[in-house]
Order: sequence, then structure tokens, then C-alpha cells
Amino acid sequence: MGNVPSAVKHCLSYQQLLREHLWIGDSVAGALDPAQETSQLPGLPEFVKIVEVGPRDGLQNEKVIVPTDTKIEFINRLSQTGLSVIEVTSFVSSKWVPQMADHTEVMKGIHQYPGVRYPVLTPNLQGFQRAVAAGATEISVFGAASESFSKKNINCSIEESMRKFEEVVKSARHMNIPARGYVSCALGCPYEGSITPQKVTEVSKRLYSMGCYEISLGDTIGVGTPGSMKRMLESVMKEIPPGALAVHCHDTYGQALANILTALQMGINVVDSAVSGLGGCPYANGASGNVATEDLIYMLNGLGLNTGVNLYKVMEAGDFICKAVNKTTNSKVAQASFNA
Amino acid sequence: MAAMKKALPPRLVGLTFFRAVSTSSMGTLPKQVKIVEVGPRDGLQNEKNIVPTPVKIKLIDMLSEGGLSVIEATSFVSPKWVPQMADHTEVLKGIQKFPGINYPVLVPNLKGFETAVAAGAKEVAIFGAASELFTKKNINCSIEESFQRFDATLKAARSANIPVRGYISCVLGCPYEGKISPAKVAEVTKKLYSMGCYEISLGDTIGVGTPGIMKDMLSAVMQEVPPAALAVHCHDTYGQALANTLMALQMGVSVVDSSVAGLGGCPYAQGASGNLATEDLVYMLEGLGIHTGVNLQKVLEAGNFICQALNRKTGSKVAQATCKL
Repeated sequence: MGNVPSAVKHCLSYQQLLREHLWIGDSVAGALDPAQETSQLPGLPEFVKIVEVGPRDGLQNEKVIVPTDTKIEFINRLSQTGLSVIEVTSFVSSKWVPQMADHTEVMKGIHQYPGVRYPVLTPNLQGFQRAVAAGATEISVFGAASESFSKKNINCSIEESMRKFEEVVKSARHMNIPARGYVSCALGCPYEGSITPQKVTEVSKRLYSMGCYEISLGDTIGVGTPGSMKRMLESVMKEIPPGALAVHCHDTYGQALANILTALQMGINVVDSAVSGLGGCPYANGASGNVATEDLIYMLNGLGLNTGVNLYKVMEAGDFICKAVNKTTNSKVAQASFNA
Repeated sequence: MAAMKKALPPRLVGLTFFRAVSTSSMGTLPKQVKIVEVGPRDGLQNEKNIVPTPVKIKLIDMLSEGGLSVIEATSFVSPKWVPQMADHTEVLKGIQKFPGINYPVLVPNLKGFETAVAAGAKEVAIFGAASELFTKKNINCSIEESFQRFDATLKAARSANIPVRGYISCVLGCPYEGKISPAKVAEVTKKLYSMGCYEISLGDTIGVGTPGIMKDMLSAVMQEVPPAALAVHCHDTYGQALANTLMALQMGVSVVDSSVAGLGGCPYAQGASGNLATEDLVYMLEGLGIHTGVNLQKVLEAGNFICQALNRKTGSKVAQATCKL
């Protein structure tokens, strides 16, 4: 910029700018105001489903243990934003993940809004049974495209983990409970380094054929770039239709939105994100984690893609949880907006 | 996931593992990208703390060793307007001028140009905008009047054989006018190009753009000016910079401005971030197999140095991820 006067906080139409660009205002939740600056890119899906993983993947990686009431309030607020899928908790042993120790209370305590789904993580049959008893109507299982990661994470090989998941997914299908599959380390592993697209395809295919309705491909340590994202998706899409795929990008190296854009250009229309970019990275101390839902929505709105989600309400939920966890938001949109 | 043990040293994990991976074609991506480092000028200009002259000089020297081929050194503007750049002459005279590296400086008018040349400048940059209101508030004249002012500078530069780079602010949105039409951006770009600027840097000054809008703007501009003469200058105020830059690369742009450590805030949104971080840009380009000539490790060091001097945290995610070792 040229001779910019210092701190021009209140430009003539800055509030108007916020309204235009953040879609705050009188619009119905998620509907695009026809006056907005949007531009459709050819070849992109018309609608993108956002899977909100803040309460689970996000909080799981936050140091501060969040009280049960706060988690419930947080999820209830998210339910009112237009998000159609909110991952609530994880039925994992509290020994491993203390943050998720209150899984049953949270599951029972949230208000289940019509039209919103509340999947929960279930690492094994025991977790699955507890989840169902607590009222879960959708579950997820977590695999990995890396043997070392699988071993260190859940103490078994990929093959052994698949057999465990098969039990869970079969039981789920038996009860008409949809199961989502996650594949970690899809673009790189903290232990093995690079991961071949073929391996990701193999694991994804396994999860898909055992009955998972959707496979979320996770760049767990955020090392991917648009090139590696493209190559991985090209491989996976030979075996699994794009309609059954999602991407779960971590922003550890600032690549998440560029990688997501690439995925959208390849035909993917389900994207995982976490409000406020909750969750750090257990592999890079101090680094950021999930891509922020607010920043994702901002990009999707600008691209003219429907999400059904009200950005401003998501920002409010983000503000709530950041105050509760006593941290500053990782969302750039929130940073730019709340300080205006 | 269960509690993790420390894995491989995460130092530059992405680079180390992916440098050897061959990148199949991404269609129309350039093989090589020139990065224009604007940290010492655009970055520092928007930082509150005044940086001492020796620190500025050391930053630029460290960046020179980082393999960058263009480093915007300072701005010959009145210190009344931009106190941070008051030491422009000392900085330009004090830096090591490595062979093969250009050190352009901003010059708002003929007087600034003459002072810059006297201080040894070999390349200059002028600043226009695609918004009438922004131009009025910024330099107190209309866009047309600003061209007349630039004309004097461009003529003098041509006589002295000094290349001139043109900047256009507000190409994807203006804090005063809101939306900016791609046609207007194309008009201003064409004018600066025909007046003699060898390259035009298109700036998303307040970072409001998203990839579709970037594409529309570039489509309009490229009908008037060849892609090789264009650069993009994306701000990351809303986290969109890298995605917008990727779109620009897909459109054929091969020059990208960025700022080490993502220096510089945004004067229009207090607390918000500013420039795209050079480290994060280099990370993406290297992952794409695009040649930059930049040594990421050295840029990380320069970023670390200036953040300590400014007493601020880095704005680069790559730096955040790698520094805690």
C-alpha cells in the first residue's frame, strides 16, 4: 500500500463492507444476499456440506479441559447456525483422551435439532455400544494410511484396525446407523513421511466397502499442498465416487484453504472444519490445527457456493468457545471482524 | 486420537519429504515463480513499532542471502506520512547490494524519485488504485490526476533507464467503495502498463477477495495486459491469500508478492493480519514443484530475526510449526 494513514479504523463504509463480505445482515441463515460479491467458478459443486468437527477434533486437541455444560452450550449454539453435521464427542477411553471423558453426558445433554446430525467417534465395539446407549444415531471410525501412525495411535496394524472397524460398522448397519470413515495421514505422516496415494486408496476402499457411507481424507499434520492433494484424490477417485468423499485439512503450514480449493475443483463437496480453528497439532508444538470454519465459509460464500450456514452465527459460537477455553481465535475472519 | 509421542523432528517436514516427489502437471501452473519480497517496506510500514535503521538493514541483508531476487527496500515518502520509512536514504545506502538482486523502492512523486536516485536506487515503484474514493483518501486526488503525477516520474525514470513497477490497490474490493469492477482494474492496469511500467502488481489491499473474484479480475485484466507483466499481491486479512494466489497461478500469473513472517497488519481492520507470509507461499510452491530460487530455511531465520526485533509473533504458519524445536 502507498501512503496509508495509520489505523484507519472506521472507513466510510467499512460496516457496509463487513455486511457485504461477511453476509451479516437480514439474510436468512445461509442464503446468499443477491447483492453480495460472489463469483462462481465453473466446475465447482453447487452445494458444499460442512462437517463441523470443533467439539470433537477441535476440543480434543485443546489443553484446557472444557466443562461438560460448556461443551453442551457450544454444540447447541452450533446447531443454530445452519450446520447440518456436528461431530459431538468420542466414545474413547478417558485414559487416552481425558477431554472426551464426559462423552455420555454430552451426548445425552445436547439438544438434537431436527435436520442436524450428531455423529460420534467409536474406536471399537465397546465404544459403539456405549454410544448407542447414550442416544447416538451416527458414528465414525478412524483409520490411517500409515502403519506406523496406526501402531502408535491405536496400537495395532492397519489390517487389525480394519477388522475392529468391520465389527463396528456391521453392528451399525444392522441397527440402521450410518457410519463415516476417516483416513488419517492422507498426505503425509509424522512418522513415515510421505504416504503413497495408492495406500490411501487401499484404506479408503476398505472402509467404503465395509459400509462407510462417506470417507473423510485427512491431512492430519497439514503438510499437504495442492499438488499432493490432487494426486491423492486422483487415485482415490478411481475407486470411490467423489460424492462419497470428504477432505479434512489441517492448517499447520497454512495450506488448508488452498488444498480445499483444489479438492473442490476436483469435484469434492464435503469439507470438514472446526469453528475458530480449534485444536492445535500434537506433532508441532505451538502450531495450528484444523482449518477454521469461518474462513472456509468465507471462501465458499465468495465462490457463490451454498452451504446453508450463517457465518455470523458461527463467529458468535467461535467467540463463545474461545472465551471458554481462554484462547484467541485461529480464524482470520473472526480476527478481522471482531476488532473492527 | 491418543496422546502422541514426539514423532520425527518436524523441522521442514513437508519440504524434506516432498521435494523428491515428482509433480504431475497441474495443468497450467508456471514452472517458475518470481517472489517479490515486500516485508521491509509494505510489511514494516504497517507495523506499529518503529524499527531502528540497522535492524532494517540486517533484515534486508538476511533476505538477500535467502535467495530472493527482488526485495522492496523502502519508501521515499515524507516521514510526516509514514514515520517508519523516515530512514529511507540510510537504509538504501546501508544495505549490501548483492549482484542479481533488485532492490526497488517506492516513490510517490517526482521529488521522491529524485531523492531515491540520489540515494542509489536502480528500480522504483509507483502506487495507483482501482478505486476513486481510496485514491482521494490516500493521496488526495482522483485516479486521473494520479496518472498525471505518475507521468512525470515515469518520464524521468525512462530518461535515467530506471525500470518502474506499478502497484494497483483495491483490485478485489475497497474499504470505502466496497465492490470494485474488474473492468475498472483492467482500465487502470492498461494505463500504467502503457505509461511504461514493466510489471503491474495487483493488490487485494484489504484481503476481501476469494478465488472466483480473483479469476474474474484477472480475466478482465489479461485481455489488456499480458500475464507475464502481471503480479498478485494478496493480503491474508480473511485467510484467503494462498487460495487466491493459487488461483492466480492457475490463470498464468507467475510473479507473487509476499512478506516475510506475514509482516504488516491491516490499517482497516485493527488486529487483523496483513500480507501473505513468504514462508507459507514458498512452502506451497515447493510442494507444487515450482522453482523459486528461495532458501526457505534462511527466510525462516530472517523472519525469526525481525519478529524478535519487533517483539511480535510471526504471521507465518510454517514458521509457527517449525520454530518450536
